[in-house]
Amino acid sequence: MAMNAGYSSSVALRRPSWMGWLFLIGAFGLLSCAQSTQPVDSDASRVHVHGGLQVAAAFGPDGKLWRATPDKQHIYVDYSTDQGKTFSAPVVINPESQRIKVSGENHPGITVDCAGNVYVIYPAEGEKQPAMLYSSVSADGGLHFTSPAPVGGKEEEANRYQAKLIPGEAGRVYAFWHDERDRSDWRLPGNAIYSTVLAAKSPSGEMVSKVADTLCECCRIAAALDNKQRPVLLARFIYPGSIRDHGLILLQEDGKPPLLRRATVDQWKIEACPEHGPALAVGADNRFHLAWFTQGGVRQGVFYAYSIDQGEHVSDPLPFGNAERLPSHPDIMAQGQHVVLAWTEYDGVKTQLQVMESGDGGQSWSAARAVAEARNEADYPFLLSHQQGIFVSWNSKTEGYRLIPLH
Amino acid sequence: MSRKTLFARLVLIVLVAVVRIAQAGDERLPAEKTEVTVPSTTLQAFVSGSYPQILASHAGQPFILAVWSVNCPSCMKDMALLHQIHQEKPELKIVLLAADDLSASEEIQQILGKIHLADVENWVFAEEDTQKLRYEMDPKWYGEIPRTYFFDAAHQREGVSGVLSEADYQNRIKKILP
Repeated sequence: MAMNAGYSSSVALRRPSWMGWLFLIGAFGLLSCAQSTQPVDSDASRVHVHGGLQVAAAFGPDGKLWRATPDKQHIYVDYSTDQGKTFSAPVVINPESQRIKVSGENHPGITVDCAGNVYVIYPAEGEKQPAMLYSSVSADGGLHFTSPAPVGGKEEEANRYQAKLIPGEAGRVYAFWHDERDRSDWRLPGNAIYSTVLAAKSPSGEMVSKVADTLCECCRIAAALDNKQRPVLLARFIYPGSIRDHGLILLQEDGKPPLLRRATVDQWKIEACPEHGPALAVGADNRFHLAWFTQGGVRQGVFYAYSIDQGEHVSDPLPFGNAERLPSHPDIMAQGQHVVLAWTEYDGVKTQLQVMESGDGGQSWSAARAVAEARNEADYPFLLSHQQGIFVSWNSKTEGYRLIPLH
Repeated sequence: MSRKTLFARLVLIVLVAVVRIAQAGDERLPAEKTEVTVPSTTLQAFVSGSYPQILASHAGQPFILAVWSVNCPSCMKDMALLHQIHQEKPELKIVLLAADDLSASEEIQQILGKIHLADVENWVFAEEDTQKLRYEMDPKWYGEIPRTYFFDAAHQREGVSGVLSEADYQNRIKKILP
């Protein structure tokens, strides 16, 4: 992304160093929140109240819906106790204004850990670089937030963007993002994924680790927890021959390097910014569910597939959506055998929010159905769940923020 | 026409670049020679209806329309080649469209200056509903960039996504030039 700033160089297929310690902490650490959370895709995002379209939303353990809303200079957080019908008075996360740099692929993120701490991450112009990530946490139920701090250390001047937050065990929150610190030459493609663990006492993370290289520069990262509460990532990588297909990254314990597995073979040979990142969910049976976009030589459109062996084999890609209506930006959620896909379609006038569901772990699917429409600009859809059910969090300019129940 | 559109059209048409030259980090940019005086850039606001306007203003002429963004590293490679083509074939019109927004105008102008494409026809997305703007140009385009359209004199066009090689450019330019 931001090409006028630090490029440092990841070059081809350098194997990442890893972050095993993160895991040790995350997986075996504090037992203050003994109940592990379900691997819920937390990056709900959407809409807006103060101006920004790209809103993030997430349920807390008590069923409160938390929302982070950007405008040009600030990030606001509010919450709803009535499933999105009304919201609390917003709290400004950054009283000192910044140039907020959200976009479709570069949403803010919000998540709540099992103890109720509320974490926010967002992109803004940095002191030394055009694209930087900042994080903040509230340990008092959203009354006060820590002063936003750069994520991933201050010493680096490289760009960071497109963060993904997921809550792990023991009150830890994982953050993954695009990082340009290892690029030395803008002509060489590919970013790195870096990671840290946020905690109430270290809201911007203490240690930073590299997870992978050769990440396609303009696509958001998807993440979920597997059935051992280890993060799994799905992202668009640059494979030899300028192929921009997807790979899974399985984080390991005991300091072992992560496992990298090619997950899609669409042969999209292109040197470009697709700005169309994938989605990932993991069921309680540890089945991985993938959704992605490609314009590859093998297939074009949006596709679904699953893997029962952690990405060693992936099912035949299933096309979904109306190819005549630009099906885009899918999100996916799995609860046991129940799998839900949500995406948008555009007919030149309005955007439709489409949903389809599977009751057998992705083997068979219902017909797609439109659950909402937007007459003007619309954000990406994000699936959220809580005991009350599954919802799509969706923002649009004219209709405003909607939390749409699916059942 | 919405108030916003009107505002965009009336007020934002001309933006004169105040270019900061050769600051720290510039050596990482594609332009090899950044120590030269950069010409001012006129950025036109691309709104609903701008695409047919561009076609009309180039009626009967072949031209290239290239969509790029300040956030697209791949686009910079294309822009370097476009500069070369512009030097070699100044008669071939090049239209650049930045798929950013007006708040990025200064950044856009800096980059256009550094890559020596400030003197071609330059546009920037100036409505929030960029999906609609893209759709008006090309209902099959998902928004990946760089995206380059080659128009012949009859305005039959070919759209290509991704960085093109010099040979790719030359072959396509041969097809559109009389």
